[in-house]
Amino acid sequence: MQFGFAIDQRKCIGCHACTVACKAENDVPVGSFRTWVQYTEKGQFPAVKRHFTVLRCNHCDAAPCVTICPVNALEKRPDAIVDLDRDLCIGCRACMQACPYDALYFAEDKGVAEKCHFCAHRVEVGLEPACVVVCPVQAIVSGDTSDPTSAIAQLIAAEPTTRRRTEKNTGPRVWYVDPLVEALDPARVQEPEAYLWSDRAAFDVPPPVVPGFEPDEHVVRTLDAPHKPAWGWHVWTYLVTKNVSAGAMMAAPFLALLGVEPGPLRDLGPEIAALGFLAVTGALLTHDLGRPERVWRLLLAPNTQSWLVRGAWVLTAFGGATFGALVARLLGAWAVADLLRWIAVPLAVLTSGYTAWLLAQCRGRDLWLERGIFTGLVLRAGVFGAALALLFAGAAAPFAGVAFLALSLATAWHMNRERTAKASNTLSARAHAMLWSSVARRTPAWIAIGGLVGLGASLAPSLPVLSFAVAVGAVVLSSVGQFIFEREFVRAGQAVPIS
Amino acid sequence: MTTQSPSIAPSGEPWRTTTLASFPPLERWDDWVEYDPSAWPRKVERRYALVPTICFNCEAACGLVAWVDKSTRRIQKLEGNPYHPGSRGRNCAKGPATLNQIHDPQRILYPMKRSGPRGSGAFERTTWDEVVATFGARIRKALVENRRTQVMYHVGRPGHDGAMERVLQAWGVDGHNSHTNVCSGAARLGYALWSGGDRPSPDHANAKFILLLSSHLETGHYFNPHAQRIIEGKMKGAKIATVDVRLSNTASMSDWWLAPYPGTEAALLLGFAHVILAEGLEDTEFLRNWVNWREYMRARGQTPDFAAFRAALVDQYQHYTPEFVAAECGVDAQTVLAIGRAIGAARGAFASHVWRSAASGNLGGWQVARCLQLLNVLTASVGTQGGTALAGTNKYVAKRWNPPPAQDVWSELLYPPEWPLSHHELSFLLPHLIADGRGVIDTYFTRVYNPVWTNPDGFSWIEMLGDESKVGLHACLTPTWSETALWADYVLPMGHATERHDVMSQETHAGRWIGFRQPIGRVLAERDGKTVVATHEVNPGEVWEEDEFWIALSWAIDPDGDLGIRKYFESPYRPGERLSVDDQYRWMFENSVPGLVEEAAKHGLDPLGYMRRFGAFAVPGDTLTPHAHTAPTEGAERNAAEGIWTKDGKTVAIDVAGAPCAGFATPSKRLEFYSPTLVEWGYGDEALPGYIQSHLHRSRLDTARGEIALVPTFRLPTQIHTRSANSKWLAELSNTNPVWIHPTDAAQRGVKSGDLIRVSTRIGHFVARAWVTEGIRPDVVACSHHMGRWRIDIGASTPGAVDAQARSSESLGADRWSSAPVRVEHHAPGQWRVRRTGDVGPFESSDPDSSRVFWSAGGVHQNLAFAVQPDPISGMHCWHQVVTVEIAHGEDRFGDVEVDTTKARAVYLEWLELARARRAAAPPTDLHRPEWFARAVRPSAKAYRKRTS
Repeated sequence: MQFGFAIDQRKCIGCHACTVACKAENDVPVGSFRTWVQYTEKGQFPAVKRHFTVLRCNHCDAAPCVTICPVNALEKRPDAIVDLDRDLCIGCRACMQACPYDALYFAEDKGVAEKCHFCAHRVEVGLEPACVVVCPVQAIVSGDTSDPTSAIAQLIAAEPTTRRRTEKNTGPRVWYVDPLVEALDPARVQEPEAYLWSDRAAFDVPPPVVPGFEPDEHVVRTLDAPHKPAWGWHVWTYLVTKNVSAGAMMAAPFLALLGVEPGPLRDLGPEIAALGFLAVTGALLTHDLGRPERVWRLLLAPNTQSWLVRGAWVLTAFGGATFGALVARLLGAWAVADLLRWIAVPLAVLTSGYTAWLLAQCRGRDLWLERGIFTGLVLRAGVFGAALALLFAGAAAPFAGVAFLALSLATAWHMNRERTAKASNTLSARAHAMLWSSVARRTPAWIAIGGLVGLGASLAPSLPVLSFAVAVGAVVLSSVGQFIFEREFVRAGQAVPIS
Repeated sequence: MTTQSPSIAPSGEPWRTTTLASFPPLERWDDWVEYDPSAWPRKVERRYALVPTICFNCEAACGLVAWVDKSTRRIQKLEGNPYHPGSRGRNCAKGPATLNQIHDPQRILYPMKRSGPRGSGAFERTTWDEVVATFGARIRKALVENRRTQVMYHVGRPGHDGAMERVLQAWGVDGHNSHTNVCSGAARLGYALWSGGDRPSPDHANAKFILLLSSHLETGHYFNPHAQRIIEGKMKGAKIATVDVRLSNTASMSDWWLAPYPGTEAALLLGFAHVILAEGLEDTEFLRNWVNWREYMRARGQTPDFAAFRAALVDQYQHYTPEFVAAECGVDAQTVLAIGRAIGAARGAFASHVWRSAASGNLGGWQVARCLQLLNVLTASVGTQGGTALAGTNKYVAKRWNPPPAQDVWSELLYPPEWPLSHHELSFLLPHLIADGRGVIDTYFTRVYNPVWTNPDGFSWIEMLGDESKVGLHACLTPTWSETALWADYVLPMGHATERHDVMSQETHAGRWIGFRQPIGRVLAERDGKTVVATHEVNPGEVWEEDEFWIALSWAIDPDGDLGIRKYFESPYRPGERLSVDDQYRWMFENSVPGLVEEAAKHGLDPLGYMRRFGAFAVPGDTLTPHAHTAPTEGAERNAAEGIWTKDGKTVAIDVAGAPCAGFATPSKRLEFYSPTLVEWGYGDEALPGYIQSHLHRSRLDTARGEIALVPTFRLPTQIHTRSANSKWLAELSNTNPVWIHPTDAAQRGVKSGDLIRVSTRIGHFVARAWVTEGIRPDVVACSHHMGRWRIDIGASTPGAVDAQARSSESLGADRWSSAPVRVEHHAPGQWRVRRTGDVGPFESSDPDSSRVFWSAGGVHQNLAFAVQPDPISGMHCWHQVVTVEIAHGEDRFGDVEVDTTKARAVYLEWLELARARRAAAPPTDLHRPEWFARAVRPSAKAYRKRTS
């Protein structure tokens, strides 16, 4: 038994009966959709047509949402249905990033993700999904694709079919008969400000057209369902706070070398800073969850494939080592504390960089799948570490200044290299272009200038207060640059329509 | 993590999914167990009772099955009814969306009575007893004083067959007003002239060629049943051509999209006729047998010779060459040729349909339907598999018990003498007819009717409804607030599709059926063995069903039976006692639905029990060729030369292939290519199917002034005219109505997509946003009529300040899912403006979804800015408008509508004069209307004659 859908676009009349029947069956909130109908118009009068595409979960054979779900709320059933258990879901919305089909939405009142589950509650009592039953023209066929006598298997065998975004290698199980190919490729479709008979939600503003990535001239999306970005300020803030925390411990063993005078700042400062920012990081991550009270499931009922889980392990280990170093120092076990500081360095690198592997599981966000993200994150953490050293060292700390400048320049150079890198596909390229046409394009310069000013401050011993103030200014400029970059990176990744 | 694949169904049987069913088996409809989707994947069993009913959103009357949670008695969802012959278990978006209407937090649950000036929005709760007593006494007085044209029932969607006919005729009033002349009146006249049947019934499923005027695949009259069969035909190889100025879903799914300049559609159709005739593709046998060509030849002063007729026919359409059509309509000549040939080749299996669109938009639009049916006649596709039959054969109207006699009065407020052929009442002229001094209304019921919003010239309606000397007492029968309900004295909540009884039949396909709408709560209570006396006992709040209202009201009018009314509302089974709805439908199903008694018996049910269980019944019998059935000729005389049988001077049968056949419902019993009726009534120049240049013909437009044609009538797949503002799932999908404009027209006016534009008509203007699109032909702009719902911002509006305590809410009118708050400003006599005081947006209610409304525009109420334009012959409102389109002025705000009703009055008088001028040439007659023409709630033969005294 391998369930799947075939959508016969030769028959579909774009009436939205499936959309509404699904809403009635599954009580889908206003503004969210488990299945929806896109209108795409192609051509010029009089040679113009409106094409319909019915979009929904593809019940993928290799479902990225299942892989990324940290708490096993999503599962691939033996009958090929990808189902979601709302009682297990913690509301992290990673599945919404992993899905290349926009198939999941966040039910805010319940604090969990929801999706098409092939009406499994009906299927198990022998009934077809609600969308199939209602369709006036029987354009939606559901059934067992492994049974060659089934209607769906016969339709797929008899007609040429297309599946969405097969390049994602997810094994989608929705087959389209005679769709408009451009309609299934969001990169080729113009996105107007409003639709032919509906408004676009404020959160669903069309992305700007990016030079070099203009959609096809006479292919216009004229009706679509809104898709709210899954991740917001919690996530880009967490990227910054996590990097501050990691950077502090990256710098910890080197503080003496960088000119920080002996004393509490050098001995306890990094741990306190790291633990403080780690606590903020943890708070942000938990607060971002739709169901924060279920956060324990991350550690106690984990999906070990998910980098959200592995990330939690990394953060735990990192926090443990850091806390250990702090406690050892306070207990006077200096050797242990120093050893733990060294152990914390690779953990800090992982703490900063694991997000790259989490993003790599976000198969729906092409920008985040590009190379170099790990390096970029770790470099930026390094900048924070050096900044900490610079501030802790006060005036006349040329080594800290040099380290800060070097890491800042390396970061700026790396960002610039990413900016000029060739994207691996059109959607990524479009997101990439959006990212680098936003204010983010200024941030490498801010970081580099921050580095230069920081060095300058470290070389001016005669005016300790002023130079400290300049150093603070340099760090602030650099940090703001980082913050804005993370924000634009998270936003651009989600801004490009993928369906 | 994995879970075991379930192997046992909740019923205890092994779970099999090799073939999934669309519906639970009928024998489990009383107790169907399914898992609760809100608890899934926890397997929480939910027990449902399934009760069939029929949809009350569009007119198609598709089957629905209400799934009722047996523990909470809440209707959880509505799916299709597999036993419904028209909809076959499937629905459009509006079927399942019925759920929103039932559970709408803003629905009206109690009878309301006005507590401030009309239109102020001040209402208070009253009792049904008070309502029935008030209206009963008032109507009784009108009847006793013989004011039988002053009681008026004005209906939008009837939603039933024959119910009100019975009530109004029992009262003896001529008071049935409808909406057809803002809808289908023109097409009805065109079709009726051919055959006496005023509705087409195409058999799309078996057609070889389907020609659609407008969007029958996604919004047409019977959209779901038609869409099923159009696509069925397409998948079997039928070719489809669609005529529409704008790109509809239907046009997109067609082999040809034809976008002629609006108003030239009849010329296009005659172009196809020309091709068929020029290439000899017509079916001469069919024409010879079934068309009244002899009458035509005689009228030409020629002997009835078929060859001569054929020559005359060819000659008649000689100049509609593809080249002429190309020039006149703006459609490619080669395409005209190709489609003409394809229609000809489809002989016998050419299905076509026009219901509103071009027929309803244009002066002379009624000829569009006539020209379309000409193609069916030429190709012998009338009453054939794959052809277009007429409603009379595919619609079955069951009789009701003890029909009262026809009323003996004729109301000229309904059928004014200037439009004797109208199909039907000149309803949209009512404010002007009353202003003419043709009569007043004592008691006015509006039902599923929202003239302030739906009709053109809504401000004139507001002026009329606000004037107690014109409309004495007004009750609005509606489940939901509307722009019209605001101006009523009483607002009476009536049930939705799951809260009332009705019987309906529609000509959805080649076949006939009846569908039974029933109150779900009542059926369930009765299944549980409870006795329900009245449906309102089980409905939400104090929502009534109309059947029971009219029965109660009729008893209140005639409590002792002295007016002779009460007897029609007494039980056929319990003499002297009040008729119940059970009595009413039991009698109907037992006595007037052929085959139902027998079919019910097969299932061990009585007929009413069968209808309660199945919700629909396919009425057996030949629906394709009743015209070819042998007609009784006893006492009739055969006229061999004419090929007819006559009795008492009337044709009763026609000779076809040597046998007397029943023929069609025309005086000649033939398909009337030539209409003696038109000649007799003074319209002899239109005696044949022809092309009338529309009021927006290019030659009549001042293009130098920037005039352009506006098509303001197109529908959306997920809206139901005025009645879907209470559905959140429909509002979410379609919630605004920008003006569609082609890039070249937009560029000429400096307009870009999203720009605010001012669209000016002869009586005012409205302010909308532009949608620049390739999906519309140049020289035309179009705007869907579905949007622009409003509610008054109480206190901010004139007329009349309202005591804050009297306000039932801060705003009142159309449902908040779709409406924007407005100020209705009335600055000086005739000077009106509607201006928004806010956007559509989230609101507080018991439904958490109301906080999630993400749309804001809501569209513009364009109909307010249109003057009435009654076609001088059909009386149909000619919807299309000549307008100018420009960038909005500085003071304009989105949604503004500004109108001068004194100008609206002047436009009415102009069009009235057109009709009078046409009638002036007519020979004198003592009839109000041709006797063979249908009339809603048909009066007696005596009433058809004008009183001479």
